[in-house]
Amino acid sequence: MSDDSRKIQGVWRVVSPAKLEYIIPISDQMLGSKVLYQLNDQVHPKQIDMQHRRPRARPRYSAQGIYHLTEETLTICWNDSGQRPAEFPKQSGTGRDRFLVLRRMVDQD
Amino acid sequence: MNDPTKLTCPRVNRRQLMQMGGLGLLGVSAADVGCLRASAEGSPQAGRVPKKVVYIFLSGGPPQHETFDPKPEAPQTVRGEFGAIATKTPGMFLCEHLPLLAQRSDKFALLRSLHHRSNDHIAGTTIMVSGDTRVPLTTPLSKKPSAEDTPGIVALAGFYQNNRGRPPGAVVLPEYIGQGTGAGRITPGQTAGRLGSAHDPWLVKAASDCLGWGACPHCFDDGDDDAVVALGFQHEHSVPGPVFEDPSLSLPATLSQGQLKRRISLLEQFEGQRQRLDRLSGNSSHDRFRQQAISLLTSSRLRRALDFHLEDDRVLDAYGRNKFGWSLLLCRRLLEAGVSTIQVSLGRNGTWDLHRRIFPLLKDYLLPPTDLAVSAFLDDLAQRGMLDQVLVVMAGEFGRTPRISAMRGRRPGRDHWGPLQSVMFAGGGVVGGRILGASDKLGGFPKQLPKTPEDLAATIFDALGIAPGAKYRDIQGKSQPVYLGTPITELYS
Repeated sequence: MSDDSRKIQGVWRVVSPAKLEYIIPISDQMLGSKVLYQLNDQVHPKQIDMQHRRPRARPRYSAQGIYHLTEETLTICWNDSGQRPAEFPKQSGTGRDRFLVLRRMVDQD
Repeated sequence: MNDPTKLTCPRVNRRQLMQMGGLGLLGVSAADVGCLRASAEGSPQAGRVPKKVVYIFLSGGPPQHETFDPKPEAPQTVRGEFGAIATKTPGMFLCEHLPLLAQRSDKFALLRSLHHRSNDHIAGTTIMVSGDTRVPLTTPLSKKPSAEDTPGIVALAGFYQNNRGRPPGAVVLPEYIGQGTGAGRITPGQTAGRLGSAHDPWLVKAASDCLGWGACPHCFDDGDDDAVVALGFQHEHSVPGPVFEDPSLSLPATLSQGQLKRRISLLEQFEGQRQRLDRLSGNSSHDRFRQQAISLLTSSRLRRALDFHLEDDRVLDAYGRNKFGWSLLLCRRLLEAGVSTIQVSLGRNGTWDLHRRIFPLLKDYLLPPTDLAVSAFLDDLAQRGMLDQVLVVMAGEFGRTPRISAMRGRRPGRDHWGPLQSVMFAGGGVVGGRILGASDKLGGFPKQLPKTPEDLAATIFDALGIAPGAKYRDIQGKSQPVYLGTPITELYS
């Protein structure tokens, strides 16, 4: 298991887009309870592949993204076109790129 | 031939039955012949005008706090995120997301103290649709309806209507309540059980086979957790074809797929066969099961009723253009066509099973279409002068826990709770604008006027005019009481 695979595990709160107010627990294999993910931290930017484990009746059920991970924050960027972004956009919400910025929850959260 | 006491058992063998069918339309089996042994004892009560009954079922277990029994004074962990709103009735408060029903509180009464002991979906559903708590408190998912089950309330009620040569006495729409995600799993308690499969309610299947929960096409997936939504992977209603069709007539649940396919095939030839069927329906020795099928197929009134798209746009809008609205609209049309007892599911199995994301799912998906459709249904019945003749009951298999459960990393929800649920009663002479019974301050247990599923069933049988001491003879020849509880007479006084 890579460093990132260990470091990413925990409970995260979505802080951007702020209105979402989502809480996403991440285990060694799952984002939340339904989305399988796989990391590749040997490339730059680091890559994350995500797929709903039950794709039926879902117009979109997978995404190839890039991520940036620190102890406190996780940023995931992917693209609605289905292509993996080459780099993090300068501004969020540009083009078809989509962003999630998550902050690790601590007990007082 | 509307008197159940006159129901006779034709002395025919299987071969004769097959010959009588002529068309081979519905394939009567030896078991069906056995079913003919079931008979009723006990006439409708003298001087009573029998009502019709609509049993609206919210599968999964609707939360009492977020519907008809809000607890605004309770701690946050109990009262939840929603507020309570005043209704047309002083002192009656409902969840803030039921504003249309709140404006019509004079049309319905609430029983806030129904209870039973099971927190299990299958057992709870069986209990609530059959009005019999004598079942194991937990039931394996594989449990199927059997000929030993207590008859479903709707099936038994339909049996007593004995609509020979008329529309069927009992109908289930737009689908049977099932369990799990697999199609065709029917929760026990809805069929005729020991009355015999000939008396199963007729399934008027109108809903598409969407995998989502709720009011298709605005449906949701229980698996849409925060990660799914944040990534834009949500379920969408995407079943090809109409969300809700002018229904096909379906055979009772206990018949096989093969039999069903044969019937569908023959339905396509229906127009050409109609004259012959009409002749057959006049045959007095015809078995009840076959006769019902034929009456379904030959009744132009009933066929018109099923074509709910004939309704005016304003009516369709009033009910809501979704599965909930169309189900109740179809229900009203079937009542007008002469069907006397109807079970309507608002949402397929487990739709109201809100262990997580309870507040967004209720606010965005479940309460608005329920509020709209049930309100429109009550208005429609009232405007057509039918409300006094139709008892409307709305319940689920149980309520939900008074305390909100919020596992770390999960959106809040409420879990199964048999000890309390709220039941809505309207029409059929029920005095509206009243609250019967009461729950404790946390909404966990009955505090006043505790009532049971047996009492709920007895209330329905009483409304239908079935005599208090009525008994039916099951397929084993045993005499069985219809009433296992006491009618809730407080609804009428």
